[in-house]
Amino acid sequence: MEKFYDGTPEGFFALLQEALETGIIPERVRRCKPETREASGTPSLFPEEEFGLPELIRGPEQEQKSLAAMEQLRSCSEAVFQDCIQAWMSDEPIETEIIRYAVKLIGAPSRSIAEKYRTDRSFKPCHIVLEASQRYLREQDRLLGLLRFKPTSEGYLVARCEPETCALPALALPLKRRFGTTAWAVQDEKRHLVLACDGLGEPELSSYDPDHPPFSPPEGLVPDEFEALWQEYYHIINIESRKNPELRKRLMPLRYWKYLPELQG
Amino acid sequence: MYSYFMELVEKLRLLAGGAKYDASCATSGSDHGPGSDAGAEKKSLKARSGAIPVIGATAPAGVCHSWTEDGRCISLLKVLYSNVCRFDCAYCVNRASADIQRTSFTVDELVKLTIEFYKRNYIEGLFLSSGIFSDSDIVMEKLTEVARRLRTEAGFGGYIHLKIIPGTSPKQIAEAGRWADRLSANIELPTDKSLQYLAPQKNGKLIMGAMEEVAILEQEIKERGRQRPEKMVFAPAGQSTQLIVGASPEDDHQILNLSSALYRRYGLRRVYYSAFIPVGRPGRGGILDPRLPNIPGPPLVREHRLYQADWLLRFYNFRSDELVSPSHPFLDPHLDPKTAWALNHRDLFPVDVQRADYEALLRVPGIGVKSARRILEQRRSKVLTAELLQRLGVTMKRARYFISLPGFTGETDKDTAYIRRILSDADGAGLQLPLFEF
Repeated sequence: MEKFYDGTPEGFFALLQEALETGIIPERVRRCKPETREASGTPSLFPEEEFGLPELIRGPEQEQKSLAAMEQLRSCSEAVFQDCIQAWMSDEPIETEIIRYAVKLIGAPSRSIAEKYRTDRSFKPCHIVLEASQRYLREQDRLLGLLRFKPTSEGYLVARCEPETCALPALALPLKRRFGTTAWAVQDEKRHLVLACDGLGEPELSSYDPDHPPFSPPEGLVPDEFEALWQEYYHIINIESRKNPELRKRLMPLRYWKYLPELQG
Repeated sequence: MYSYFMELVEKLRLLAGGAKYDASCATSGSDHGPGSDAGAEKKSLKARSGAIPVIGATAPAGVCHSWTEDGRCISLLKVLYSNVCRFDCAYCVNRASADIQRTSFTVDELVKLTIEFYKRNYIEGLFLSSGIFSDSDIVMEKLTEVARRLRTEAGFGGYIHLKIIPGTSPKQIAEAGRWADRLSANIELPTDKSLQYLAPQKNGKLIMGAMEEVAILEQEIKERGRQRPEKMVFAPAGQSTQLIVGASPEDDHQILNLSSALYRRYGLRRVYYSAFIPVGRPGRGGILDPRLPNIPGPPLVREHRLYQADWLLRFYNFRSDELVSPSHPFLDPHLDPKTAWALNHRDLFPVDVQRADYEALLRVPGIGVKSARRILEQRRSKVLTAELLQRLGVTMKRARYFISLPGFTGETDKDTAYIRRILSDADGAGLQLPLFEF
């Protein structure tokens, strides 16, 4: 049996709740196209596939079901909920495995047994979920180091990126801690999402029209004195007799280089 | 030639170039900052600065912000306050007799540079060292002033690592620890004899004295903190040191014994090993010195093996005399130290992974701390299989020669020479691969 959802976390958790209620786990889960998604009123976090307008859970029913599923996951433990959401945000087509994993844990006779199931890698869906969750966290870690912020005319520090996973939500807390009262924003140019914080309130995630990004492209601004100093610093601290470009590429894959000023030119 | 009036970019070129040989780059072990959920740590920073920091926080696990072309992680703005130095250490590019341009940052310049780099997410914080341009306390006071102003005036909550200048007084060390996350006094050379020979103005006792002082202050603060936690402020990320490898004749046995003793006696968080880079060649700075060994390049593989051995001392419960001895004073350059140890103790293998205790599992090549813990957890309810071990993170291409489990024959019957041949240079030591899970 194949199931569809609108690409939102709510849509996915509503599907999970349906599996919990019916006891039927879909053999395949797919995300559907934007027209359907708009009806739910929530922006999708993923690039969509084209395959028509299938039957979806949406509106208040979606909200109700997704809340119920999330509550059940959290009743196992916060770690279980985090594993599932992080695996889902890894952008890998593993919804079926996440549902299998979640159904097994929620169905465990006690919390302690659920905790045992949580890391039971002999159960293949568990292994797949934990690996995806780890990949998600790895991408978060890398971005925390490799985002490059530039001051904009709006008084924000803005970074642009194209992460492999839907990493922006996970950056909210560490970046808020890092920047304190300074306003900042991160634009995911692959998914057209922006995570922004004015330095006073909480960071907010929203989608944007790719033709009208919310923050001016930093290239349009005057050259940044400190960016030039950073480029100089980066080249100076290299030790020629230890040169090992292969290792650098391994630690800092090429896909990040586009946004790193020290590696331009 | 000294120049105070110099463009900032030129100063950065000289003072970062002079600091790049210091191996320390970690930013872990300290946790505070705006919005930090680590309440006690936040309080401790407040106690230092008198205000909640407005920008900057430290990440518990540290963050790499870039990697240099030589594959080293960049997490800190690593610079000298000044490259004017009255010491004439043979291995140092900043030695007094070197004909280089000399300059110093101002405190304002360093504060601004740190904050602006931090805002752009280039760095996690500042690593500040200096040439010894004056009396030790005066130099240390300058470094401390930079840290103090970052905390109090710029509201900086990020990471600060200050180098302790040899000969600094206890009072000045206490003041530095009030503002810095980590302090370090570099031993540089493993014996007093080598220090006397290559860095005659340095004194091993003074360096050890500084480490001891830091350890005493850490202990005192810990004691005092039990009564008044809000006043608990002293270098929360502890202290570290650095040893240059290959500039003097000491072997790995001496080096690892020393590291072991430092971890034990002074509670050091890290000992860094820095492969000696022959100086006095075009583009490398420094002066050709007949006291230094004539080697073609830095001994990178040796440095890597020492890091691996150090890892075994700290996380795998190995003792240094299990890895090296007076009769075998050097680590095997072709094998990671754990595999080398296992091949010298074939009688202890194969290890039955279904039954072995944690300590025994940790000694199996291919099983790391994480996978050993996972094995203990899984086998309570499961019979382990080779496939499951792989899922638990065990590197089977290495472990297969050292483990037994039901239904898995592995290759434990292979002779030592065969295993050595297969596993030699298999960990890419020349590439300085990650240290974990070996």
